Amino acid sequence: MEEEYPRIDLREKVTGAAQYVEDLPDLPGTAYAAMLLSPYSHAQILAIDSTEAERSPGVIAVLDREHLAGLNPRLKVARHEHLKVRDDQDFIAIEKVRFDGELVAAVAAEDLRSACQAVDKIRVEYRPLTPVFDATEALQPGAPILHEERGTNLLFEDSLGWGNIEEGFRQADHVFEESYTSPSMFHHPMENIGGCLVQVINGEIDLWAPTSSPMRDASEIAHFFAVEPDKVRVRVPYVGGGFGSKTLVPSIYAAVFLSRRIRRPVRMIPSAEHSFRQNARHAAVYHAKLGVKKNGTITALDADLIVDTGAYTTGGATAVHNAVISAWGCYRIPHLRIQGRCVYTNKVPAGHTRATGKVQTTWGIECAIDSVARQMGIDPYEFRKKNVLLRDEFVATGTPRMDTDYLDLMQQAIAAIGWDGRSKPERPSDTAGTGHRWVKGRGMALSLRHGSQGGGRAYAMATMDARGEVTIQHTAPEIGQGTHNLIGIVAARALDLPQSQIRVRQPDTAVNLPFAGVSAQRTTMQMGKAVQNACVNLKRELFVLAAQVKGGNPEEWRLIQGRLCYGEVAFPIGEIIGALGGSAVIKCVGYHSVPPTHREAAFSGMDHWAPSAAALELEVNPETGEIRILRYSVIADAGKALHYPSAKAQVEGGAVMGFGHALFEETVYREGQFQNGDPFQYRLPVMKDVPEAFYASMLEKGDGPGPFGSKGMSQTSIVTVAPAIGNALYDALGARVRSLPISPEKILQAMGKI
Amino acid sequence: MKAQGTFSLSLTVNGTAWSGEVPVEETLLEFLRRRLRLTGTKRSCESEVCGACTVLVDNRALSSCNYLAFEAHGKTVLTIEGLADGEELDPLQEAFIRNIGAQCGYCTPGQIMAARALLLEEPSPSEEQIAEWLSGNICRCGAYPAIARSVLEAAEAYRKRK
Repeated sequence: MEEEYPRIDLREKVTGAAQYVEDLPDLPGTAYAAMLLSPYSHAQILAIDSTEAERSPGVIAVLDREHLAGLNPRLKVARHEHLKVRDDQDFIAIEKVRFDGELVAAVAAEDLRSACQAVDKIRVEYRPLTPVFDATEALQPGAPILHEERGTNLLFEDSLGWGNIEEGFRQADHVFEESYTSPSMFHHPMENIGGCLVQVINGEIDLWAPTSSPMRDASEIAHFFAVEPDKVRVRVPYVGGGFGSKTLVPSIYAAVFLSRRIRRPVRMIPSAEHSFRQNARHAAVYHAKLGVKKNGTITALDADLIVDTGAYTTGGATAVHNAVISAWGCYRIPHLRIQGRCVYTNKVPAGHTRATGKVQTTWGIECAIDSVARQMGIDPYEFRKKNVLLRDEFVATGTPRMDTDYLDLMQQAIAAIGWDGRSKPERPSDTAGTGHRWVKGRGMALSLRHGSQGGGRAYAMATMDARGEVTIQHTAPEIGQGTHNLIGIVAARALDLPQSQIRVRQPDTAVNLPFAGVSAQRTTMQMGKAVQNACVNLKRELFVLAAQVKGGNPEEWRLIQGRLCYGEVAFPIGEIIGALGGSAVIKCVGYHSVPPTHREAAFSGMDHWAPSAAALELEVNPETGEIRILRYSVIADAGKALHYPSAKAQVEGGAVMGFGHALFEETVYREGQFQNGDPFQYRLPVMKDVPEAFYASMLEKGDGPGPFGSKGMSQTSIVTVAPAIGNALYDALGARVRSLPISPEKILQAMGKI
Repeated sequence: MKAQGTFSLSLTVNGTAWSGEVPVEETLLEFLRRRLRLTGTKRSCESEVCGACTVLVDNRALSSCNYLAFEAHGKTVLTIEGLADGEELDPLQEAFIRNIGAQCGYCTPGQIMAARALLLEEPSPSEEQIAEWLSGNICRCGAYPAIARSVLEAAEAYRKRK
């Protein structure tokens, strides 16, 4: 019944009424900021001359390394529970630039054109240095060093292990080695990264910015500008997509700096080319050695990961850690050793990206599993069924037991494309006789992600007024997933009120309700539980009040469809709350705590597992290497979807982005520069790229730990696309592509044709 | 600041006539967003690639980021704000809500306006025609299947309405 209620953010979005940060009206006296970014990937800054820019018409102030007014430009790197990371990035370039697009200067002017014209007048003298764009090369002796004081491009190492790896390989009858690489790519939210509007009133920094974690951002800004945390307020209007990219990037610090300096509101409006240079996904090399018994039982996995974080640490700790703890896939592996290295290169620094660290490792392990099964003459489906973790199996210290049914997920995924799961018998890579005929192939892939990860306690607040209307306050931005709708549904169900009586506010850190942010698949679980808890508390308060006003014990009162009931008698909520007089509201806070973090358990702080299975049918032209995806199905374990169409939209959307990652997306660095950092050259999935038969669904057993049997599932569908394509391609041609994106050229190379 | 050329522009936007001086280099996107405060039309790529700024000029879909305001002189412009009839939504808008044809919503006004132009030209489009037409409108959330469903449903609703 509730699902009939339209998703609450969509009316504003389809009428153009929804406001994003750039749509907010100017504040009185607003100045406009423009940025100067480095054209070099690696260079020393010899001199900056801004004299001409400062004299340019309309200019109010210039910011560069010469104009810091005593501010320490060093940004605080995101801390990590398991890894030691060091602050390594200045918000504005000081001695060197380390990537094409690093912020070198910014100008505040009376209007945007004046600001842009002034930026062009800033003279920067660079001494170009040799850049390094490949993480493996960056680890070689003699490679250009990005951060001289460290003496190496290796930031840190992370590891995971259990059993005894030597013993595992002793038990194996066969040992296989497999390598798979993933390139850096760009999130490309449609709303560019790095825009904001900021003013300073009575010493309070008042920031409107598209971000996924306003509470964390407020505290980082307070720390950076050395003001008390209560002197920073972050508000988040609608956010035009993020996928991990919408964080506090240097342009936002520059806008805040300028606003404080000129004592006027400042608006930053980044171009698409700026956006391309604000964030990225980590490139990675996945190398695995697998030990397997004759009967197909996996005995050991020894994996080595090289993760390229770009010029600064940024999201490196989370990416490497997530890659390390996910590199074993979803299989029963008694002896395990995984090592991950985080490496600097002269690329745009990489933050978090939809299923951070996991897209790269799923591409690795799921192709490796398929390849090993094939080499042993075992059908990959049988091999998976034999080795995949089953419900209630122990997984690892600090994690829940396996809480899904992979056999069901696989069965549903293959059935959806009309496949029995059997692959073609092994045969040599010989398609010489096929001529121009398109060849069909089918493949599958599984994924497993730790769900609802970390971040401490999540809080929400529910307020009920005398009209019986409920307002939920929180700090979870609506970035596209349907977060606010989800909050409304949980509140309505917890209070047995129609959803039309629930108001969900936009996030505002002034309410001081901590939440780690809409990422890591945590919103349904953590924010959902916090809202549910706030509503349960609200109901309890209401019953206490009802008992005071009308008599009886609080436990005897019930809230049924918006009326307070005592035995056979029902009262309108307003009659009870109205008795408070004055403001006549009841207000309650609720929270959710993730399981506590243990330093020794790599997986700490997670509530549940988030798995999926995918099956795919394609056809490939062996003469040209062109691919057509014919059918794709992906089934995610949602526990129980709280709003089925929104959850389905997430599963579909993740898969669509996955097609881009798998088939054509890649940031290209050559000849010292970022070659395709603009909308013309960076190819994104369009409607024509969606396969005709595209089936996205969810396994719903109502067994999730979240509100009403739900669990986090939004990042499960993106990861399975690339390995499903790679495996289907092998099924078609007997040739394996081991590097993303899977271009026609790589297919022909894998076939030995070029 | 150096003197800029201006143009005496007269046009109709969402049924309302507008006349005034605009700089010759002002894009239609800037004109709509900054001068008329019609911010439903979005800025994204500014290079006619993504379709987020799509509006109709004399019933033809175009990217307002690469179209100068003065080019619309004497013409009729329709933006996302002009699509609904008061509180009553256009069938496209209703279908986008029903099918979750929008997620973050940033590309949505452009998708809807492009779809509107398609339905004016072809009241009964096939799925292939929809995919072909809307492949100039990027949705990074990947709502394409839902957008396609929305356009099919809206086409039917338009036909019934006639």
